[in-house]
Amino acid sequence: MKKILVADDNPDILELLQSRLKANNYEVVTADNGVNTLLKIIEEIPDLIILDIKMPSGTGIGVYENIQRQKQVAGIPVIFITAYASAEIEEQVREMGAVDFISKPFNADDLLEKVKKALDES
Amino acid sequence: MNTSVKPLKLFIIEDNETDIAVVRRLIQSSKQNILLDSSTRLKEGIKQILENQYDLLLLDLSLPDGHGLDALVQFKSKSVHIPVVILTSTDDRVVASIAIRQGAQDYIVKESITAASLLHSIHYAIERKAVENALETERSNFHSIVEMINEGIVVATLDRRVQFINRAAEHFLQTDRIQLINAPFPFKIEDGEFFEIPIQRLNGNFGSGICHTLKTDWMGQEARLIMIRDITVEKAAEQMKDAFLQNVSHELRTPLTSIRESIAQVSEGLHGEINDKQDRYLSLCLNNVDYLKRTVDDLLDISKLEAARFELNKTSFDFRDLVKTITLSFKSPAVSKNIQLDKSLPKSPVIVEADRDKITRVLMNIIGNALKFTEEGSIHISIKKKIDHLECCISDTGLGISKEDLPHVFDKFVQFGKLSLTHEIGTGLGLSISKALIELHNGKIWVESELNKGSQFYFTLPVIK
Repeated sequence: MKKILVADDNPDILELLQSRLKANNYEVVTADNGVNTLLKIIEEIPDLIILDIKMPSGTGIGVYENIQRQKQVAGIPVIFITAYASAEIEEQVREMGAVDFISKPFNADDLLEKVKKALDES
Repeated sequence: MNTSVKPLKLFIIEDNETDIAVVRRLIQSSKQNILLDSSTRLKEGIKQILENQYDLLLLDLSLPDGHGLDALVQFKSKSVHIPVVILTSTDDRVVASIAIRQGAQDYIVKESITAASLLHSIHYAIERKAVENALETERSNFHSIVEMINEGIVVATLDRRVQFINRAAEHFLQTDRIQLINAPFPFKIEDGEFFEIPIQRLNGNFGSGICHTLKTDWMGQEARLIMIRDITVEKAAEQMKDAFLQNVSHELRTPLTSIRESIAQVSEGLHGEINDKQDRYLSLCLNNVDYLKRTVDDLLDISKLEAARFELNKTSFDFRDLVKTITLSFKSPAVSKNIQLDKSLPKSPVIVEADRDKITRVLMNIIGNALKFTEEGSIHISIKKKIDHLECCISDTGLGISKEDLPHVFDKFVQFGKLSLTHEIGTGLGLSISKALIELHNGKIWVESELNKGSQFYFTLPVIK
């Protein structure tokens, strides 16, 4: 079973993402701020990270830059998810190397398709 | 003139008493109501004129205590607007014409003086001075307006050399006219365009100015008029508005995410079975959540478009491919409504340089509308290649638009035709966003329609080949 780390500071969204992914046979671990996310990534070594951009104590972008500097986790694919959706932000994170981008509110089919694609390609 | 109630008060500065007597006699012989005071010395004469009100000065140039031209200089510096007629001997004509350039109105050659020529000269000088004063007043009024306004004004030749600059522009460009006159304007002048430059604001801080250039004439030559306006405050306000909109949209989208996904999971039966009625109401919820999401997105877009700060990500592509892809995506909804969807495309490539996502959005919007408002018949998409642009037409056999509604089709928040809740609800912003997007690509968009006779939406885009 593929392991996905979901990081979001909104507990409702975190719970919903977790139940959606579990229902589709993924193992899910969660984190609700930047520092926790970093710790969990190193502890769990997930197959995929779904990362909210705006989080307390370290934005998603900060977390991403940090994991790129650590050999054992640098290759894990990252999908950014944000309610600050705009073409500019999407372009920015894609240029940074994120495999995909999901804007909130998301459509579950779209989310699952992007998750599957990211896992298949990695 | 001789009917005026007030006598004309003249003054004569002339060192030759005989000449004064001649002038006095000539004036008396005219029987006009004229008074004449006199002085044989320049300093004394000037003093009298400065202290009293005189209507005209008859001025000899060579005087024992100075040159007559000195009087003209003094009058100018003290803003004394007295008409002056120069009395000169034959060999003084050159000097007399210099005096006229210095501000005198006329001159009389003493040897050939007659009553008629003297009076003619007096009245002519008074009238001429009045006209000069009026012109000077007008000039100085315009000058103070131009100097007072907080808009920078610069006139430059076609090769950018500055010919005129007002106070505000001096301040904005941190220079003074002595330095800048005939020097090149420090920024590239773009004809008829608005361009932004860094400025020093009138309060001393630094900020942004917007320049607008217009064609003008200067000394009979074609030149450029550059107007500079301080837009620092507007820019700051725009940035605040942007940040505010970003935050508002984030705060709206976050709860919408929870609401949407909660409903979606329940309606999909992820957390237990639901009955048909529950399913129907949950679908209504989802439709409305999606509507709210689109409204938030559209509002954000329209505010960016209106501020003209929408960035286009242009690439070159064959417009026919885009139409093919989009037509394909509408195939199944068209089939399920039993509407025929077809297209006619040119045989050769139609290459445009455009933002593919934005043009996709325009096409999705117009075709989506066509499908929404057509209950039977067909939708036809065609591309015509013109000399330097393409013309795309989306034609349907749907509801059509009434004559009264036609001018408002591209307005914001305008919705025509009542549709049932099972339809995707529009935000009323789609066509105004489409219009802004097409115009951002230097294209045009318009509609032809008649109620119950279908609609034809057209737009153009520049093509590369």
